[in-house]
Amino acid sequence: MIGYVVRRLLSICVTFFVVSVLLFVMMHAIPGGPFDAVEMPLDPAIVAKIMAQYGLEQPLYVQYLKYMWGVLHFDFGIPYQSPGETVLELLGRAWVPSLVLGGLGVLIGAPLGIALGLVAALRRNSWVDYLASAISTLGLTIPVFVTSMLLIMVFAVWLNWLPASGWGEPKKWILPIIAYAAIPLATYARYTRSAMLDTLNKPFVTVLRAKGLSERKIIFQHVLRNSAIPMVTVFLPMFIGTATGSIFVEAMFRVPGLGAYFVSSIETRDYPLEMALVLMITVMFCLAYFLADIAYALLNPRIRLGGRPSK
Amino acid sequence: MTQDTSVIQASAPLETVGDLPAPRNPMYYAWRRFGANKAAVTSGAILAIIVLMAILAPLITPTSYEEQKFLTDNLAFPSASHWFGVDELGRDFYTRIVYGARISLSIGFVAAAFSVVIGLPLGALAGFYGGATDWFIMRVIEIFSVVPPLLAALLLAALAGGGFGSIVLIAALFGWVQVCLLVRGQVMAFRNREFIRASQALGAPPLFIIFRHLIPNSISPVIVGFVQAIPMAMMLEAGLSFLGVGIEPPTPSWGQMINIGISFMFFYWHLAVFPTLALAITVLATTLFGDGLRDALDPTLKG
Amino acid sequence: MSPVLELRNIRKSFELGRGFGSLFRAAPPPVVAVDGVSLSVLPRKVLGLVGESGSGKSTCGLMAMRLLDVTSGEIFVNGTDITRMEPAQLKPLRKQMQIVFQDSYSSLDPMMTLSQIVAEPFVIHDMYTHQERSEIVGDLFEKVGLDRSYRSRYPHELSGGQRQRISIARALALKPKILVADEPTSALDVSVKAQVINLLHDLQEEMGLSILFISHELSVIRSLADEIAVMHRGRIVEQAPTETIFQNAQHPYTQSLLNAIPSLDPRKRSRRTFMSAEDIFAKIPTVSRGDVVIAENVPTTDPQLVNVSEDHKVEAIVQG
Repeated sequence: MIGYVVRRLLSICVTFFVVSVLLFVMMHAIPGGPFDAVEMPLDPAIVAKIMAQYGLEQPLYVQYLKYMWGVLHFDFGIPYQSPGETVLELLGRAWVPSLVLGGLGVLIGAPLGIALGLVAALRRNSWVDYLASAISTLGLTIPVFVTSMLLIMVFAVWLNWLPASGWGEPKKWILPIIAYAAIPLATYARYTRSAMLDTLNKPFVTVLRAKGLSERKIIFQHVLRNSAIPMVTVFLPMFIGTATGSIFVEAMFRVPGLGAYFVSSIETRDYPLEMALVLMITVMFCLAYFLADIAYALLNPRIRLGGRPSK
Repeated sequence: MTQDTSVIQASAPLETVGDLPAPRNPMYYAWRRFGANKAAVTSGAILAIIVLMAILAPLITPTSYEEQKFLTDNLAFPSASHWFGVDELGRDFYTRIVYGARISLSIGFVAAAFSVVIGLPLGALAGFYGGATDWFIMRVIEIFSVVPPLLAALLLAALAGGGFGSIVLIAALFGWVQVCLLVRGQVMAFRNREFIRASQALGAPPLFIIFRHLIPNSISPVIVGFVQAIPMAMMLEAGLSFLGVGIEPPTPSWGQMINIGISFMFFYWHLAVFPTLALAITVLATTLFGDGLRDALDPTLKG
Repeated sequence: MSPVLELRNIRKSFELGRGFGSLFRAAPPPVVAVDGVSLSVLPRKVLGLVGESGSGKSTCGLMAMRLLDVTSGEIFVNGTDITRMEPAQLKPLRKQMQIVFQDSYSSLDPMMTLSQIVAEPFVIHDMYTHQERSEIVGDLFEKVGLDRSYRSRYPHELSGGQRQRISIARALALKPKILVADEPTSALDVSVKAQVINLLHDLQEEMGLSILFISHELSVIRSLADEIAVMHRGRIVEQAPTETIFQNAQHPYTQSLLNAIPSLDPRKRSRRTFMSAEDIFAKIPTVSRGDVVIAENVPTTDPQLVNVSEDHKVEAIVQG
């Protein structure tokens, strides 16, 4: 187990290195630099001076090594788009809306989804079941920005109950949270339902019933525990879905979060910000994978991490 | 002394067909199952209508998609003459929605086709040869699974500068993984089947086995992978166009129209609602159709 | 009479956990599936190879067909060493040797019609015109007792016995001289089993086949085989003409296999007891050096195969 953890952490470091090189090269290969404004062309001499100030005229590998040296010291540089603060300070600010909205979305959506999936599985072919199927199909197929647009049209434009966009007062949070919640709600409703049905059809449940155990005990002591394993594996796609969704939710609701900065950093060739964001996301995803695997192993006694194929 | 020997004396009668039904290709049963799935058949019908509309676009629309013919009716609401109203540049919005289907569907289908072109041979190789080949292909796939497709696509689209071709390539770049995994799984399951061994015993070279046995037996996962890649590519295109790095105006794309629609939604709802509904319906129909095909062809592919 | 198929001291060990990723961790020791087996199949004779599942008998069959590479040892077909032949060199030899597998369902490509399956050998070896193929396939159908009208059907529309007939038709399409039958009847119902065995028997006489018949059922082997080799844990423990094995089995493992054959006569029913590998090892016969012919005269305390009579070999511990 410890060997496995060490191996995984090492592989995260390797991934981090590969992604950072790829990204650095790719980013600089994107046509256009941060300081060639089309509307107000600057004097080439001034551009050269600014470029020199940021070290952009040096060979790429020198820039890369300098950058990585900084990263090792938690120095991610200064964002071109707001030179008054460091990248870290900007990210520290941008984290808040993304974490609050995304976090609340998952905290509300996931339990609701699990509950919906449970009821759907226990009351198969009832109206709850059909509702759960409809919600999970819609939630999993329709892109987030479409959901967001429909939410805005209904609640902000036609009913005029809630503000359509912005950040600040909690009233403005409601619609983006609902938009965020759609993904975990749909994912968990679908997978809880199928995991429960899978377990309920296993012979050991029939044996428990034959033993005369009450249905409540069967569900809570046996079925739920055995259904938890597939539900853990779903955490990962859901997490990725939510993180990706934040780009659209924040663009749609004009929230100044990580997703919004990600888009603007690409548009404005804000290299330091872009690098920092992508590296942070990579580490986050690797850790999410890692934690999901560990949780999976802890829940399932039959899985031995990194072990030899069992006979 | 045992009694089994006496049983063995029984003679082998010539087996006859009798009144068996007509020979059935294994695919026949899949079609029967598909036909029984109402949601999938309905989605298929809706998808067929959308495809027809896209193909017949010039015949069923009043103008071309970029003609600013109705500047005097700028932003007009839906009416008998403009079913979906007029957009902010004086173009018939119904026309633009219909042409948007062309973009969405063609990107979906072409990208899915490319996904199969990349994923099928790689999956077959990984599944058939295993070992180092498989290890290498799986590591490549691992990299693709750590990087969320949309974020990478966003970077790549900024790099390639948007446009039809680069969107298709980006979608295929992420779409092949699923096809590859499906085909690999199928090939691995079949690689050690005895009919493969029998073919080897007859002297068949690896390519003969791959093309004559393994790929025909992978037809189900390939169809499933293809159909599931379509909505993925459509959503990717819409997402990128929504963020402004996809299809360039004036070519109509639903994602792009939704983005413009946000600015007008409080006063000119039609600019926001129609592209949103068009995209939602198309993606939903394609996904349900694909799920239906998957369940009909091979329920074990459900993942 | 020189053998048509000869295995000389073949060994097969499987390395576990030796993927590309295992560069970083220690691999477990290899598993020895076949541990120095020598067998000869004589022209027009049937050699039965019997043993429990996992004894390595099917691995021997696969290696004889070069479907699996040997770890060491040699394989001869009609006196030619085929052990290290390249696939291209091997291809013409494939016409002489064919195999029938146990699982009739997975032996047939589900996406192909029966006539396509039976015609596959001709496609691979580029033989005959389309017309001729169709005619020969029809003849093959009749030869294995299937109506010609089955040719456009798919494997899933047949019964297990019918599918096994198709496997046999495909194996015999190239008119081979050697057939490896890898448990061809083990998955079949008793009545169907008898039909397939009769078919193999008839075809063997008609085509002059030499068969290596692999099975875990002694009773099935008895009806076909001229000679029987008993395999246990990757080694041959006893080998003798069929009736000798049934009348005068010497090795404890052979005896336990014989005891396992169900009998209808209650007086002859023995109490069937499970014998562990240790039990068997403890009962291995002991012979004194002067009484037997030993292939290699090496002093060893390990059991070795010795001739107790001219055509009867038994694994025994040699003393003295």
